[in-house]
Amino acid sequence: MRPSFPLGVDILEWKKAGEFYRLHRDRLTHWLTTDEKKFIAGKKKPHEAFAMIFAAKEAVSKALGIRVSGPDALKAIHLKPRTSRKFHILNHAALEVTLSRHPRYVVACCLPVSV
Amino acid sequence: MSQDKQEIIKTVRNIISQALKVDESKVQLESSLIKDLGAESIDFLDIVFRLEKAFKIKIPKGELFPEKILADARFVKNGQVTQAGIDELKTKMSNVNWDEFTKNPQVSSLGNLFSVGMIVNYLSDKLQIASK
Repeated sequence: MRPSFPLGVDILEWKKAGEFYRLHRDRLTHWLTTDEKKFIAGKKKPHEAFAMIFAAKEAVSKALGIRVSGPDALKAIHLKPRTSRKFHILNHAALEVTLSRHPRYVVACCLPVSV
Repeated sequence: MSQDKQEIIKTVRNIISQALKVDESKVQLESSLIKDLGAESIDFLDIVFRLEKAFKIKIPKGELFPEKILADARFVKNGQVTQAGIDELKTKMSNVNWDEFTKNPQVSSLGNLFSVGMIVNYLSDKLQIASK
């Protein structure tokens, strides 16, 4: 039998995330942790940092088997950005998220740390 | 149909058209947000925030799109919504036709039930309650 492990992938358009961020930035504090807010605030392009956080949370929620995620599910995932390409998940330490940047999209892939 | 409901439909169609970047003519009451209009997770949040602003109401988390139920082990087993989960969802989404979904209650297909009409009905109920 093949070994199985949690896997979650999310693809998010920079443009869509950017528009969302510009429109609703004041609402986001409710479901972002202090680390996540710091990461966004520390970037020259905060809307892109937000896209990375959102895609990463989506990827984690998919790896955890939450198929339809909303504010509650996203709030329950606490990311610790290590670099712009790798995030740890504080409350799911066995998982990590790797991010890839493409011209139109950010791609977040959540896998166990050991894989 | 009452004038108030017509106004709600008009505003909801406009909001969804703007949020999902689709022509308003494609936004019909029976349109599924995911299957027909291509909505993604971020769009659901966007729609909720826009509705709150337009109708000057507060939509509590999970009240319009009851995603929290799907993270509850009592209501989901092996990728399928249990009967208890369906019963719970029916209390939250009373204006939905459940016949097709209950034949094969895959969690992954639940999102297809989120329709424009469901939002309109939710707002009609909510605004009536708010105005009482």
